[in-house]
Amino acid sequence: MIWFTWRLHRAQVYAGLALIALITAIFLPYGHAVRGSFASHGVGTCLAHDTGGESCQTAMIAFVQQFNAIANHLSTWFSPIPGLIGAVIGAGVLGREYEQGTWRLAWTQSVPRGRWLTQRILLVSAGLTAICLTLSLVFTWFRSPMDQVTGRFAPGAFDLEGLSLTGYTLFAFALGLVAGLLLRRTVPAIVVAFAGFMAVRMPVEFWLRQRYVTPASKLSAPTLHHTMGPSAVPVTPGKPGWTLSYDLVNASGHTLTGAEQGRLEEQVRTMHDPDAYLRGLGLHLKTVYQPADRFWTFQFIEFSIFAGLAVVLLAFAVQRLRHRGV
Amino acid sequence: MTAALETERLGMRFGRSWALRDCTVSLPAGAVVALVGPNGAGKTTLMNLVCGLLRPTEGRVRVFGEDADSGSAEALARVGFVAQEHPLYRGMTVAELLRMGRALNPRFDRNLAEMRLGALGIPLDRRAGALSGGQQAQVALALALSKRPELLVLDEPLASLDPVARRDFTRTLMSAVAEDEVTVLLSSHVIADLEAVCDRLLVLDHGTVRLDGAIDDVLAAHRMISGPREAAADVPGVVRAVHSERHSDLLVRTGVEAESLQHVLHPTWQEHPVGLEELILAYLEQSAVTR
Amino acid sequence: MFRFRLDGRSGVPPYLQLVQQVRQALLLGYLRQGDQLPTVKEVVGTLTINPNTVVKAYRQLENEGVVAAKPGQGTFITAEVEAVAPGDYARLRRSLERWVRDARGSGLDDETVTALIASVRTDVRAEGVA
Repeated sequence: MIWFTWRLHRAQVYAGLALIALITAIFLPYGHAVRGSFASHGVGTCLAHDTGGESCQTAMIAFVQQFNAIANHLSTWFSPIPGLIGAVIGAGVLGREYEQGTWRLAWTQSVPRGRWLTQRILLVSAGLTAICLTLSLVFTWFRSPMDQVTGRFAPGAFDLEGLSLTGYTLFAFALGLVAGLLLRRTVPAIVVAFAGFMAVRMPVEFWLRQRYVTPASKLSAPTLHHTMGPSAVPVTPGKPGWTLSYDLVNASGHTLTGAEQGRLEEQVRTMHDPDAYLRGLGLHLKTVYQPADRFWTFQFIEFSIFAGLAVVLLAFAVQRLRHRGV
Repeated sequence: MTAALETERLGMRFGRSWALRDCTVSLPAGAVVALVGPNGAGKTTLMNLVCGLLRPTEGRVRVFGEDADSGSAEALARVGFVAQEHPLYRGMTVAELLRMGRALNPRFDRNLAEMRLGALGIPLDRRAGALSGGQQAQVALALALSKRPELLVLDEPLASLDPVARRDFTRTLMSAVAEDEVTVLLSSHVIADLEAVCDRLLVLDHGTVRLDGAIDDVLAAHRMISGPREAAADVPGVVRAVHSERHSDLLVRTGVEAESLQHVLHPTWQEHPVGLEELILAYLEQSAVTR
Repeated sequence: MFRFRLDGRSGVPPYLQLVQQVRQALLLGYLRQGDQLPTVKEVVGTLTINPNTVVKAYRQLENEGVVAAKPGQGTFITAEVEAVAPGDYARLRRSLERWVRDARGSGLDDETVTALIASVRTDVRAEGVA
């Protein structure tokens, strides 16, 4: 069964290795450039001494902006790739058997078709996992200087590093396999699987992910110099996490409404030291965020969701193939 | 002696329609059985049930006394199957297909397969997709035979072959029957090819068994008679009647003792033996009329 | 080695064709006592025929006492059939030739000739039975 599976999927393995080689070839020079810039901007020193000081803020913003474009391209272009790879490979497992009629050859050998499918799933999943983890390592290496500044919760980091990429691919693979089983055609199965993948992947990224764990909050000196979101440059000391919201709170602990904050911003715009003025009003900055050290917790949760869905789908496929006719 | 293949009130339903119903047959070991019927008669369904590709809706299938529909490795190993259009992994070479056969079957005899294909001049290093239709059929047959099955099931093996390939395929099959003593169930709608090849007949139509028996017995038990139309109503055991104005041709089931007919019949009736093709068509037409 | 033929259009069951060919060959002297018939596998290889059919034909010949199977060696002719003497054969053939020419001259076509022969044969056989 190992040889048989290898023979059927070896072209895909070669393609996977080629993809790794291509990605490495592209990002090796970029990785070096990022490291050079990291040193020349003195970002390391800034991070070592917390993030204080105008010059450090400027340096970090300059550094991040230099590579934001390429990092964003990477995340934009690469985020559908796990879905495509998984869907194509998954849809082919049964879709091709049905299209070429070889299922009647394959399942009348002496290996029961449930076992046949289980072994193929396990071997192909192992291959996919190895390729995806390798890709994730390459991405992690390339991004690591930027991750030190902006944290690893940015989509460009979180979706490509750690376990998430592998989880996405396995999920898409499972969707493709089930679609191939039900539709008996490869190309329609790819389309359905990819659509299904995006339909789960998007809500998870934009809605569900920030709710995995109750966010933390902290109070700090007030400022209006802040950016929000998972790839924000940190304005407060400590390792950057995923900032969900900034709000000004008054001395009694009440959060100022949006309108009040807007009025304040108008007021302080022309001032020489707006932060000092805000301090004088007895205001604090309340940051609601997911701390940076939750990265792996979030990775495990994300991976568990997608890999768990994959397991359920694949188990369904095996059961259906075994018990229903073909 | 246990039957090579035994079905008991076997039924298979797809959605709301029955592809096969109430099918009870028992095929003796060593027989070469022709499974005949029009398209949609349930031939492929019956074969898929025998191969374990389908689970029956009702009833049972046994191959040499053991359940065939369990889908277990042992059940699969006992049955060799050559599907319609003899599918192969087209990207694999013949040698790779044989390697696959050995990897997936405990009793697979790769040397035998290489020898048989070598004798037919089929290059082992050629990709299956690059072989001619006849050669692909031979490779599929070699794969099925090298499993060393007790029962070999072939779904329309001759349909897509040219006459020469058809003869070569049949010859390989018959040699295997002579050498390996395998029981064969073979479906076809080319009836002319079957008489020399098969010794047993199973006629299916609309999911039910119309006729089942040894070909020689079946032929001996039927007569084509022709005579005056007004007397045609008195003839017993008519399978199919064709009437012209004053004259009728009747296909009659007489039982094996054909003499019994002579007592009943008026001397003006003329009697002829019946050919296999004629007989099968008569049964299929009859079922089309009575339904 | 004796070679069988198979006529798919004759309507005669294949096993009977084999039996008849052996009987005919004996009568015409093409097969003699002690001759070996081809093995089942050889017949299958040349004719593309079901081996069971060959087995059945050989079994019938055995029952008729025409052949005997020697285990491990093959099937051999045992019957001592009085073959048609060459002189008789030639004489019968000549008289039939004359008759066929006569029939042609009277305007009978091939089909009618065959029908006539069949009819006479049936009558003669009926006399023999009665």
